[in-house]
Amino acid sequence: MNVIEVKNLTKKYGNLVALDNFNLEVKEGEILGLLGPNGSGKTTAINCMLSLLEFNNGEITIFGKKMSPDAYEIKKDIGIVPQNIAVFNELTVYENIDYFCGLYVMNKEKRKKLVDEAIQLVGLQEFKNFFPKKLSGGLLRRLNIACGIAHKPKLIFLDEPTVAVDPQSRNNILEGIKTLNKQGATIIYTTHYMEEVEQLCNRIVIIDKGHIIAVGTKEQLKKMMELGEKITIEITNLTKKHIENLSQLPNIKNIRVIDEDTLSIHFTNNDHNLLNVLDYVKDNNLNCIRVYSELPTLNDVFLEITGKELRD
Amino acid sequence: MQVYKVYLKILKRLYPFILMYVVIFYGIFLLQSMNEPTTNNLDFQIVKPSIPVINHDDSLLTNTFIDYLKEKTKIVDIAFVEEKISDALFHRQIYYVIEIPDDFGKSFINKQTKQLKISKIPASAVAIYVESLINKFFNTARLYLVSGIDEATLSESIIKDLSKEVKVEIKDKITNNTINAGYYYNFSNYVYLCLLILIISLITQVFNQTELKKRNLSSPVKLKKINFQLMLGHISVTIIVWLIFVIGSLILMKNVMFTFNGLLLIFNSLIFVIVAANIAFLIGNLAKNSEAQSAIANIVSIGSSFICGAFVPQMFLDKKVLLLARFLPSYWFIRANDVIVSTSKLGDTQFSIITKCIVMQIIFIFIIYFMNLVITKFRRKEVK
Ligand SMILES: Nc1ncnc2c1ncn2[C@@H]1O[C@H](COP(=O)(O)OP(=O)(O)OP(=O)(O)O)[C@@H](O)[C@H]1O
Ligand SMILES: [Mg+2]
Repeated sequence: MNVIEVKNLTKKYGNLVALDNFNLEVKEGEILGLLGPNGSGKTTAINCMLSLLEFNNGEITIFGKKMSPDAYEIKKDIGIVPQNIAVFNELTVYENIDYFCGLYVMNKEKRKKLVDEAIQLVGLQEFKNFFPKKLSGGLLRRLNIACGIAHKPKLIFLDEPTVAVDPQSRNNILEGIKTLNKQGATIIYTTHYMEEVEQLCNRIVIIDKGHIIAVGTKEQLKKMMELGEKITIEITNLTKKHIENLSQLPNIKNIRVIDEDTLSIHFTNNDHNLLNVLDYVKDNNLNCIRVYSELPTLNDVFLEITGKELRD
Repeated sequence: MQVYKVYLKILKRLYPFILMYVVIFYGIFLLQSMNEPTTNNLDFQIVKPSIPVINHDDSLLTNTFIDYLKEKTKIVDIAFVEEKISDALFHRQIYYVIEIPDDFGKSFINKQTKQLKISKIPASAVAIYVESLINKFFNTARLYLVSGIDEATLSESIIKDLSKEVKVEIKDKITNNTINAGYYYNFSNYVYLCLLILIISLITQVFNQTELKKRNLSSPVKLKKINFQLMLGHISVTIIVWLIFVIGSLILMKNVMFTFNGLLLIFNSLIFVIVAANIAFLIGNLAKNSEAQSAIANIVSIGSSFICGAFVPQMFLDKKVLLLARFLPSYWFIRANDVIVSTSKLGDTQFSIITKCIVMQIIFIFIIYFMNLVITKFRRKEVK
């Protein structure tokens, strides 16, 4: 069953078309990664799905019902972690989580348990009585997450939740999100961090300039782009001729010159490519300082599709 | 009631500030009322007001009248120069001038219609006092006249009668305490504005922050419910703040506050806190952040307190300033207070002024409430 169905969504800000015929299906129980460069329309898409924004055209269904500003039955089961931090500076960490949880859960005892669990999940135990102004950027992000998920919703939107969170806590949070997912929550996750998507998401939607340009599992996406091994090599006496010759090697997809003496060579598969490259180096007496091979990352997929790095 | 609870929590965080304002208020008030020497006020029993009388008549009745006035006031003779009189009135060197036309006594006895010519500062305490003296004298005279006695007996009888009444009249005086109550309630203009703006506008502004607003909008709690709870919070705060100062006045000045005048002061202040709460809500809706909010708060509370006479009595303020002050609700609140404490026996004149002041404040409530409605409509669009 589809938890969310978005059909032909178009959203304009004046003349700017932020979303253009945007279609999306989110399946129950999955973690969907929404990937796209700055300004591609991720936040706009989420706000439309939440009925926080009016849109020009399209239809949004959540849990099989039409979403609207007064669809309170639907909203009951949704959790939101907005991109911009939304907490009360006048309330402590605990009070903030309790307030937002209380918008969904009336029972006091049940709520207390949920709030404590949320604090555990984001690791804010020591900061329960802190005011937001006294928290570091990363801790504040964690509070923002806790406020959004404490009530254990069936559907959770996370809009770049881990910006500025250190790697270790980020891992904790990702694990926590996985746990929520295992407990049955469907999750929509936007981020600029490829590692997070690789680690977390079952399915990925790549959007650019308000269009969806690719959808699939990470394996499917890599296959679709015919991306194989990537070899990076640093040679001091490199000439144009050598680059030309290298590009005649089998299975080559393309070669990028990263700087004067470093090349990034992409292949269409993963068979013996390193050997071929090293043979050429040896035969031509090239002065090789460094060479390494890696499997393609989503970043490469992204670069391939949009021609841009995902992160600036 | 999540929102209402958050309201109370934020209110709790503001306790120190609230306490500070309360302490400052009572500190200044107590200092002020201790320093006030007992004679430095409008207590007529002690200070007789100077009343210039221009007399063109030489009848027995007129002379009796002047003798009677002499007992209660300082009669001063001035040469009759109209310009001078209006100058003196304007500068409040004098409050009341009586001109007695010739043959006034004769005309009175013959029940004709010659009138005393009066120049006065309307609704001033002196004018009210002297008017009551004049009325008393001629009402008594008229009573005797009906019984048909001659002029000499008439004068004697009036004197006798009125001197008896003097004792009764002592009760009708404005005490030091009444003056203090007036001062207390005028000064409360400042704390009411400060406190209500501090609390109501801060909380309004907090809940208006775009991110929090969006967050609340995406929850299953209806916007109407959230707004209702906020409104409930504002009303609670307004009542609490009002009660703090009303109860304070009941304790400090119980002999005044439990009179009719005292109750009027309390009622007037109730109307005013409603105005102040609406102003606070407006500021909260206009201010984009807490810095702007506190800046506006100071300007509004201190500024309007100054020009409307909360610190310096209205009668000492410049005419032009007062003209400007009429466009502020504080002016009407304070003017009503001044009239309420001007005499313990409120007459029709005073009542009509007090009513006008209260009506003006109610008009302000409607105007500001309407402005708030318009702004809230705009804000709702902004989120989208
Ligand atoms: N309130 C607004 N008014 C006008 N234009 C807007 C508004 N909000 C967003 N936009 C524009 O719409 C486009 C999509 O913005 P959006 O915030 O959805 O991007 P995003 O994918 O979330 O970007 P980021 O990764 O930086 O968060 C951008 O070009 C942005 O400038
Ligand atoms: Mg965004």
